[in-house]
Amino acid sequence: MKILIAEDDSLILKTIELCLKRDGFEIICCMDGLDAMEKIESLQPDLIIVDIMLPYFSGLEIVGKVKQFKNPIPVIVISAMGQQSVVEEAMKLGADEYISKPFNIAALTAHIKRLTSTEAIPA
Amino acid sequence: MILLDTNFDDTFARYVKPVYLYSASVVFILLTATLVIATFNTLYVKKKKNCFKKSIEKSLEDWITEVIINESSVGVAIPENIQDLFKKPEARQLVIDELVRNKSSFLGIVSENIIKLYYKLGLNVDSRIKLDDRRTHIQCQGIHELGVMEQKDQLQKVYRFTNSKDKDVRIEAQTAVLQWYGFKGLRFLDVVSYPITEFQQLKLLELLRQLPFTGFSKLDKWLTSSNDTVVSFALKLAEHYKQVQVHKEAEQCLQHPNEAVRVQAVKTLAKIGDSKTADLLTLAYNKERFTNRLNILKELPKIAGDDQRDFLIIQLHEGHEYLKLAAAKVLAHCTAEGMEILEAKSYDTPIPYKEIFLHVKAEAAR
Repeated sequence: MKILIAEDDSLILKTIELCLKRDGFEIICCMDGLDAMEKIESLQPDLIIVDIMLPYFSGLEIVGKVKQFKNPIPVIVISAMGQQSVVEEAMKLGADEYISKPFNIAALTAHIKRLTSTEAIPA
Repeated sequence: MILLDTNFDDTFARYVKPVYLYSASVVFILLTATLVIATFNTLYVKKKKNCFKKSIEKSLEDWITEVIINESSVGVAIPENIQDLFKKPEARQLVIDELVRNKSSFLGIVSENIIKLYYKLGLNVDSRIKLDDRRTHIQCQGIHELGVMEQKDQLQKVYRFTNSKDKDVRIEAQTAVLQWYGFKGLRFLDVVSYPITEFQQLKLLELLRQLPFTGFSKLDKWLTSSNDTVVSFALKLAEHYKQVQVHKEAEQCLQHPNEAVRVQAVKTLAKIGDSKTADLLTLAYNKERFTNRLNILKELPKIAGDDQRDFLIIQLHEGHEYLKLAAAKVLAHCTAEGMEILEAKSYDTPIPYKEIFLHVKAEAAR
């Protein structure tokens, strides 16, 4: 299971990466929206975790693009506190789940498992 | 004219001699050189600091991440190279910054481990020392670090800063106390004598919004505080948390000498008021100035009814056009025949009532 994480804070990115790697996921890390878009197209991850605030392409733009794919990839949006309106916009664009900072890694893993198991049903 | 020219030439020749020009050029060149050297030196120092930061950032980041995701991080050993780094204050501050940033993003085991690491490395001492610094921005930094890292044992010291004469220090300290104790932390309102700015009030409300509501112990006392901003903030708390038991105290705020408090009292009463509140607001209306009159008319739709019809019809004929429009909106929204009254008025006196009627009608149709 390949998961792409797009987060511009290296420490947060590394923490999520190590936690998910420990749970057996293969992780692709990106620190900006442009890199994320390139890797999404070339590496075809099974799930995307994207921070709303990213350089070059925002999390919202990534959600919008990904949801136009023929086989849309499930997306979890990470938002900061008080970004409720942006979260609503992301959900309207097709984001599958959102999680607000501060968040529990266990909650993130639960979202991932739920989304990937749902995705597995049609296949 | 000729005489003037001659005088000027003489003066020019006396003072602007080649030797003076030479000296001036030397001074100018020296100044420029000093400036260039100083600029390069500053840039060099900055670059050196940046390089140092980057060089240690990577190794620290990897180690911190390994530790904070580890479920049994209590007995974690600190590698020698990291121990050496910790002798440098810049490195210690860098770790504090990283931990504080990460602590704000995570909950659960990761968050707990970050606090344990902060303790283990003795970084809480660094933050505590900042409280004694004379520079207020350093004090703010220390309070922020202790607040995020849940260092509740520092309450006594931080609590004193909730009434600091420096605005930023106050904001940080009040935020920290609330982060630690939630609604109980609001007890600083008992003693705060400096203003709580509008921004700080919003910040505190936002912080409280994320915490489980446990009630207010002294809301009635805060509503009679000698600090006007405390009264305003208490009114906001009563409004947001629908504290109907302080209805009487909120009513008294309608007579407060500070207009900002009266404006907030109207908003609060519109939320927590009873059947008599609309009459109270219409009574207060006549003593008010434009801002609060408009405010009352904007809040009335939440509580007004047919009993306020006569008052609204009077306002429809008096005062500023904005007040007439606001009164017309309440009349149409809250009274049984409000729209008909407005329509009849628009035929009787088309200017300005036709426009007002069409505006209200269009708004009602939306």
